[in-house]
Amino acid sequence: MEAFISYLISGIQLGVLYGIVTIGFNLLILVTGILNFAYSNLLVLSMYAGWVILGATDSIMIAAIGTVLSGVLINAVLTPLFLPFIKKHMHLEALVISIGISLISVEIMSHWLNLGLPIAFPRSIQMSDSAIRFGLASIGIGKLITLLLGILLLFVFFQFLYKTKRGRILRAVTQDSEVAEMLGISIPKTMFFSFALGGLLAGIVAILMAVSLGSASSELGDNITLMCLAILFLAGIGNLKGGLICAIFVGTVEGMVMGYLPGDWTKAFAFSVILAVLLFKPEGIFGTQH
Amino acid sequence: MERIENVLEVKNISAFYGPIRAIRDVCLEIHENEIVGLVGANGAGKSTLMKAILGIRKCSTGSVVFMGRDITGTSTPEIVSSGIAYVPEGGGVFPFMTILENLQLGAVHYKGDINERLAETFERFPLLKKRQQQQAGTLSGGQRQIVAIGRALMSRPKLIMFDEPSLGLAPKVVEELFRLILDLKEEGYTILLSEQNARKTLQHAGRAYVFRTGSVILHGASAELLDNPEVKQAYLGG
Repeated sequence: MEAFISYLISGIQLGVLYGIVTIGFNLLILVTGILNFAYSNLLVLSMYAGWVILGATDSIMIAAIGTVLSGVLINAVLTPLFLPFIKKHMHLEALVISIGISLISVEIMSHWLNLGLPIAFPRSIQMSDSAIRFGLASIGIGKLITLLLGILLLFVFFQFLYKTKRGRILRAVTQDSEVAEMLGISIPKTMFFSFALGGLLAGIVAILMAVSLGSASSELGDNITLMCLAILFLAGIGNLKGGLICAIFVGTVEGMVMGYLPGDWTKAFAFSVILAVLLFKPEGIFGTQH
Repeated sequence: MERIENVLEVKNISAFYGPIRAIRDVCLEIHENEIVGLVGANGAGKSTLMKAILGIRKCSTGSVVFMGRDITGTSTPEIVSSGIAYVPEGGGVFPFMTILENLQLGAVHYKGDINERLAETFERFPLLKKRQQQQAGTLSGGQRQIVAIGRALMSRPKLIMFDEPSLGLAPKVVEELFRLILDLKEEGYTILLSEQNARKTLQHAGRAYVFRTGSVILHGASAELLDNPEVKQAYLGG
């Protein structure tokens, strides 16, 4: 029973992180119509940025701020590359651009940074030495804290989306950009904002991952992309809340499989579940809705 | 000195819709506090003209002057905030947002007190107040038009442009809608009304412009147009 609770918490924690990244993917799909394939790779690049800053300054605070800023900056700077394609509804071409960016960022991480070796964050920020023990099982404080921070981030994000003027404008553009434009909402500004907002989420998740995983490698981004895209299709493309629910579900399944099955069967199992669902509901469990 | 009384003055504008020239050399003026009708078949260029005025379609030639200021080539947010509101075809409400949120989005550029505007809108349309938390996508066609009109009024515009407001509505609802448009004129609003329902438009508008394949072929007082044999034959069913 104790082990079960431990696996469950780990799974939910993983699911919440998947959920935030999936929201980042969905946000851009909703506002700009493009799938930014590079999103998770750039997130991992922010982890690298945080690691470099931490090494240079030895300050966790500065490294954390730098990680978040790098997330916003990287995504905002890349926006002009996408805008011409978005304007002409050339979504496939934009996808190719984003795949290109993702390859470039992976090569940078695997050749230039830390000689291509995986990076490890100091044990102190993982708080892995302190764990809550119950019976034979234990759960790391770092995992618990990132779980709580992740939930807090989601809460703030949805408050922003549903309770503020900016959030309302963002949702209006996702529902009918033509009418939004007629009401005097600037579409390019909103797109730029959605890139930066996605970058903000990625930057924060980069910190949460540094704390909960303790390390990163150039392949990490591809793994996240794979899971999050699968979750996105499972829930229904562009469905923010549905994506979150499915992410927590998939994360929990992954956590359980990791705990109970020998060997690394997590991806195989998670994708089997997703495939089975999509066979019966091709448009996803929740469908496309806002 | 009629020039100064013009709320809107469109001079010789042409605009393209993709490779097609959707409007050609269109001239139009709207005086303070009048209803001006745009009559013509679907695809005659009425919508494109409105989008060109709003700055959504770029004009290849000509100029648009609003309240004495040249707004040709100005950005849509700036044009909207200078006092032009638009009621899109079918209402164009945001279906997955509440009525309240739809109304708030009409005041994106409004500098004053939004709550005051909301109170005024709710007073005019008590139905919207009662249902303010309802999703706009669940409303009927007529109710959507009301939300769209309420949304347009939120910014206290000088000029309101209606794009096919009666399309797809029941005759009784159309009747109410035109009464509402007349009420708005009585209150001092200036209105540009695009409609395929030529008879209704000419009965309510003071003046009108008749469009055919992107050009204005006739314009003048509605009473005269109603008697014009060509208009009768082409748009009023003989």
